[in-house]
Amino acid sequence: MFRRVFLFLSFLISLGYADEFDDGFEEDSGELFIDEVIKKPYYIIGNIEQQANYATHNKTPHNDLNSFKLSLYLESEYNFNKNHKLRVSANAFYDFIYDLQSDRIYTKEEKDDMRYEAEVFDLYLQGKITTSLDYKIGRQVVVWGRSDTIRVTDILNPLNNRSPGVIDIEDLRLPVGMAKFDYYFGDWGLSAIVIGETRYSKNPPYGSDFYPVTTRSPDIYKTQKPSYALSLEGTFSGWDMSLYGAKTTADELLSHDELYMLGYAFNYIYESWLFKSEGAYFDKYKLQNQQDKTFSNILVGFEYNGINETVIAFDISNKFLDDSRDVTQSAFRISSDFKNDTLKVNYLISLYGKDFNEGGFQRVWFDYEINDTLSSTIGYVDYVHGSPLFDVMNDNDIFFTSLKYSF
Amino acid sequence: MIKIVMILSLILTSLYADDPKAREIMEKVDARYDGDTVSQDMIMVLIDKNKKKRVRQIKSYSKDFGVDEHRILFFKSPSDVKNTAFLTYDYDDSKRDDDQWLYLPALKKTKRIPSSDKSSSFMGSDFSYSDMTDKDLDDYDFKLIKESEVKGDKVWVISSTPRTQDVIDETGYIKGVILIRQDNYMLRRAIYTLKNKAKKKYLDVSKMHEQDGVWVVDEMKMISKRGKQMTHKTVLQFKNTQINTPLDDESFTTRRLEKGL
Repeated sequence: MFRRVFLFLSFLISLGYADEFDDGFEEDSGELFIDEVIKKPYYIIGNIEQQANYATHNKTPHNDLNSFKLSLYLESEYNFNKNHKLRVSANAFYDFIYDLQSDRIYTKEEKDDMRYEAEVFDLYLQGKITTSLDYKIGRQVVVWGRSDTIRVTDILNPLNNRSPGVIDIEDLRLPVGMAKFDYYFGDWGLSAIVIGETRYSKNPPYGSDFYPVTTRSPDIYKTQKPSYALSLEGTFSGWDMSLYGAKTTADELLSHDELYMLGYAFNYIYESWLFKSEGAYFDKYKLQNQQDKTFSNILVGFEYNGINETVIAFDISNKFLDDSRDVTQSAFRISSDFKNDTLKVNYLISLYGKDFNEGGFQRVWFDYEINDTLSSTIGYVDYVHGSPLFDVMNDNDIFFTSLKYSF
Repeated sequence: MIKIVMILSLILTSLYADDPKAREIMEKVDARYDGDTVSQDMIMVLIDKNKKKRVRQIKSYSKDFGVDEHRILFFKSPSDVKNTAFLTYDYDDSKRDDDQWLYLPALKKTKRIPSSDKSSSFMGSDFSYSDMTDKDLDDYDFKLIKESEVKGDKVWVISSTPRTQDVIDETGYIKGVILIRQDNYMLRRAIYTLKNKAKKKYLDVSKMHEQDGVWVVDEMKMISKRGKQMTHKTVLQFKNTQINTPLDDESFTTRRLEKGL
């Protein structure tokens, strides 16, 4: 009896496996995708993107369809040899909204800034001087810190702040002319940076949707002295750390005066968790027409990758000003990939205040890869009131869409 | 009656317990020499159920560091992922999580990635991060099911069962049936059952050749199926494979990741 049961079970199991092998696989299609790889010393890539934004408010002239921007991005790299290369990238845009809505009255400042633009983005020489020493000279972006949503130590590049909440993080930082030398020893890298180019953040022009007041602010642009920066980065199994020091300018508060900064950044991995922390001490931080201030800014956060195809991140920072005022900022982000990474769903909420009640924005967007060359984005930004700055933006909620052709 | 149930349970348990013969085969697979360094051009073709294709070109380098392996991948096309690079330190010790970094050119930033969950898709393909890294044999029970043949190649058919829930959670697989070629100890085919039991993945190493005494894969396919229905397929093809050409240690650092090809 037992023997018959055993034989029957063995037969069933072997039958199951045999079926799996017979049915599951495909006949060889014989299709060969791989071509001969031709090594070229250069490449040229780029994209053309059409964006359209639709505002849900009734404030003329920025109501309804308020941006219809066509952009071109080009990037090229030329490798002189194994150790040295030149990178150039440039972008240009033209916003047709000022032609399409020609009956609307825009300020000169807005049209000058937002109608069209063409600029060199990256332009640098990069290479290896010795086995331990690299250089990178020219217009470039250097990212300090670990957070993707809150900037504590990431102070070297000016920003594109023209449409807060709408601009993607990859388009946020503006390259600036600098000379960077990296020396590597063991698990460590020491970088010395001199920033020679005077370049300020792009802020909303007078009359635009996000300009915070109804009167013109005076331009106080002046040539900057060179900035100097040092960083020491250690990369180890399961963790890494960076120390930063800089003498630069306080661009974001429009004083453009000198500023000293000492900071750190830290990552630690535990199973599916990536913990991060950043901190910085700033000296001689001068608001316009006010006295020097000092403050420190501390950030803690995490990323969790334990859910399939999903990243959840939370960062919170607190700026300790020397007059006992604190500025707290937090950001929560969740991104999920679907359909073999063709569809990415993202949600980000960034709020100020210890009780998350001093304004901010939340944004949801969908990135869809139609094919290898065509991709689209659709999303919505909801501005949250709670402070004078965000009260101005509260009604600026916007639907944004784009279609991008990459080549 | 109780006696019958107990004996049946014993029989079923023994069917899935570790089998010395199967383990010996798997140890030989694991110990098979695959070169100290390997560099390859790689094409990844992602094919959806409507046969729509997306193609990624990748340059891959790997090097053994003792029992550990370091690997770096540079994406060459399409243009929206060009210069994206992925670095992994694959540790032999299964108790130690691998180190992984991703360089995203759009962000100009290298991001460290937790590697504990390896069940996620590798760059949108049907291969998971787990499929791209070595397995620790101690994490599995093996059982030799039978000997068979695949397109003229004699194979051993071996079942592999994760020993712990942690391994299931990490890889996303509750069971594997693997076919090992008897002449060279290369994986020929595999069927993986996912945690969601309705889904299976079929791996077919369809082309390989011997080069400098090392067996090298030229083409492999991973087909994802729900029931009998193909939901997605990935074809990986390799070319210009170079074995044991010198690659310096600096090629496997975040410094190199950011500098690109």
